[in-house]
Parts: sequence; C-alpha cells; structure tokens
Amino acid sequence: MNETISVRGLSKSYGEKRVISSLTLDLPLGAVTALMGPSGCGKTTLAFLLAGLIPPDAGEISGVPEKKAFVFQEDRLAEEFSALSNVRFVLPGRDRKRAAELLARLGLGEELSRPVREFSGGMKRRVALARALAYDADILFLDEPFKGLDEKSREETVRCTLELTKGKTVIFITHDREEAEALGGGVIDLGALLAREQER
Amino acid sequence: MVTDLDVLLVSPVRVVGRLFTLWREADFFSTLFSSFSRIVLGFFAAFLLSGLLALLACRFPVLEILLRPYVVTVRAVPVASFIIIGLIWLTTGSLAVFISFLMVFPILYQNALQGLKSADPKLLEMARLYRVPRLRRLHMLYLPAVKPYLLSACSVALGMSWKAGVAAEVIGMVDGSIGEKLYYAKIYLDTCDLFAWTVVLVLASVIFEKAFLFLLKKLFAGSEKL
Repeated sequence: MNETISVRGLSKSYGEKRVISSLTLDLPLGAVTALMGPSGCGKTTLAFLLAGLIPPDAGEISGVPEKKAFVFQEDRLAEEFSALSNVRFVLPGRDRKRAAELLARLGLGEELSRPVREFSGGMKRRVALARALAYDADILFLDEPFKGLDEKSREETVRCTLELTKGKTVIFITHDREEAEALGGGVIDLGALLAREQER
Repeated sequence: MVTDLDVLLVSPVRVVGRLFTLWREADFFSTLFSSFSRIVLGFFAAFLLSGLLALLACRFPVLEILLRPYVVTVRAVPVASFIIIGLIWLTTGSLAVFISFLMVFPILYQNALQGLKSADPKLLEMARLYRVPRLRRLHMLYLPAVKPYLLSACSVALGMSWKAGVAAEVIGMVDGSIGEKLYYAKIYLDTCDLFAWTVVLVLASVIFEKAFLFLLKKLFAGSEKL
C-alpha cells in the first residue's frame, strides 16, 4: 500500500498563465502537510488538482484517498439554510447528532438553527470547517481554514482540528509560516519549490 | 334595435346587484367549480410536467435542444389556433384543461430550467466532492435557485391559465362552465351578466393565485428548515 501521495511532473495553466510547472513531490499519508507560499503561487490550484476538482495539463497524481473533504476559500455554504443543515448536508444519513456535536465544538452550539446568511465571516468559516471535520474523510484539504477567526476562536479551532484529524491525511494551505508550523506537520514551501522547478 | 344603453356599458351598481343574485342561483357554484377544476387541473399538470422536464433538461442538455422548437412554437402560436385544434382532437370537457396546460407549460418550463441552471456551480462542485446524494442536492442547492424564478413564473402563469381556459370554454361552448355563461351573455347581449361573470372570474383567479403562491412560499420556507 502507498505511504505517500505521489505527484510527478505536474503542470497546470489558466489560459496563458502557467501556475504549476513540472512539479514533483511526495506528500505523506496519515499526516499533516502544510503547503505554504505567497498568495497566487499555486497552493489552491495544487489542492484542487490533488482533490480531482480540476484536471492537470500534464503529469500524474496517485495515492490520493477516495473519501475527501475540502474547506474552500469561499466557504461554499448554502446561505438560506441553517448551520446545522449545511453540516448535515454532507453527512451519510444526514446525521443530526454528529453535525450538532461538531458545530458545538467549534463554538456554534447556540447558532445551530440560524441561517448562515446571518453569520459573520468567521462563523461561516467555522461552519465550513465543521462540515469537513464531521464528514470523516480520509483526506482533508483545508484552504486557509482559520482565516477571519479572532485569536480566541482560532486557538480553539486549531486544537479541535488537530484532535479530529489525528491519523488522517491533511493538506493545509496557508501563506503564514507560523500557522503552518502550528499544526505540527511537515511544511512545504510551494512558492520556493515551484521557483526552483522553473529555474531548472 | 338596441333599446337599453346598458348593452354598451353597464353601471357598476347593476353589476354588483347582479352579483348578489348570481351567487344564489342554483348552478352558480357548480359552474364555478366546473371551470375551476378544469383550469386548475391544466395548471397543475403543466406545473408538474414542466418541473420534471426542466430537471431532465438540466441533467441532459440534449433534451433541452429537442424541446426548444416545441416550446418556441407553443409560445408563438395564437391560443385560438390551439383551441380550434383542440375542438377537433378532444372532447369539449377536456378542451379547457388542454388549453390551460398548453399556455402555461412553456412559461413554467423555461423559468424552471433557467432557475435550475442558475444554481451556484461552486456549491454543486462542493456537493460532488462530498458525494452528496442527488435528491439532497436538489433540495438544498437547486430548490433555492429555482425559487425566485418559479414564484415569478407562477404569478404570470396562474392568471394566464384562467384567461386561456375560459377562452377555450367560450369557443368550445363547454357545458356548465363560466365560458358558456359568457357565451350566452354575448348571444343575448346581456352585458350585465358578462360583467358579473367577469368579476367572478377575476376574483376566482386572484384568490387561487394568492392561495397557490402562499402555499408555494410556505413549502419553500418549510424545506429550508429541514
């Protein structure tokens, strides 16, 4: 059985703009890997490629677990529905208990029935994260999951995330080195890596 | 020779007076129910079929292409042509159902399809990633997108179903219908009856429209709480 996700010669362009060029790397399974780098360096594109949301122009990806969860940069919540409905939406059997439990752990226990359109940016972020954590995926893509959270809820959310993703593959995207290191896994500076690949 | 000026324009007082006597007539409610049931049946048939076909056309774009000429034709052809065709093909009883169905189907179908297509592609992508069952996607992603389109289409279509349905009854002289009453009002130059029945029609149409839209909104609101 594979121990890593293998990326070989991966390239992706949007029109004329080449975002990822001949990227080769291995990502450990069952561990946290932070993809770090400045905005626009291709972190989100790589996560989308790994999750199979977009096809690569060239190269191969193998070893990605089937059951995936994703915290997207734009939350992607059904605004008219409650926080609870949004989390239950992705759960097998619309498991109410698990959805409520996860929302409560992320500090939204009192807001279960409120439509998410009434939520602040930070609250929406926590709903999106609760949805991903509740799903019990084998691999989680977390694209800046703590963006917009205040200091107190950020600490709590990081702790909860670490606890609930123990033993799972987590691809954590951030441009903040401190945040990348806080999760305690490997850190890949994608910006630097892609720059090196381009120089070759 | 016309001896009564009421033939040209009847006074509102007389119309109101006629309304008071009209509803006490033995066949008033059976006439109203007869037209109501036909028109509403046509509307509901169009509502259900347009929803189903819009869903299928959204899923299989080839169906949308296949249906397009029919939809455009139905919208363009005058209702009178369809009524005459319906008179040849159908019994007079089912004529109003058919015409009411035919006139509102394109409006409901096109709006439902447009609404389904306006569902947020990013949310749909998220649902695919999480492998959310299709029925659940329909409930949480497609229904909210369809809601404004459907409410506005129903508001137009409900009024139209009454107009077209009664026109079919008039031309088809459907027994015991409002259309028949209007026809006799024309034959006997009974403008007062014509106005009174028109008021009844407008009231029935408005009440049904308000009740249906109220229930539809409740249904949408209820589904958002699930």
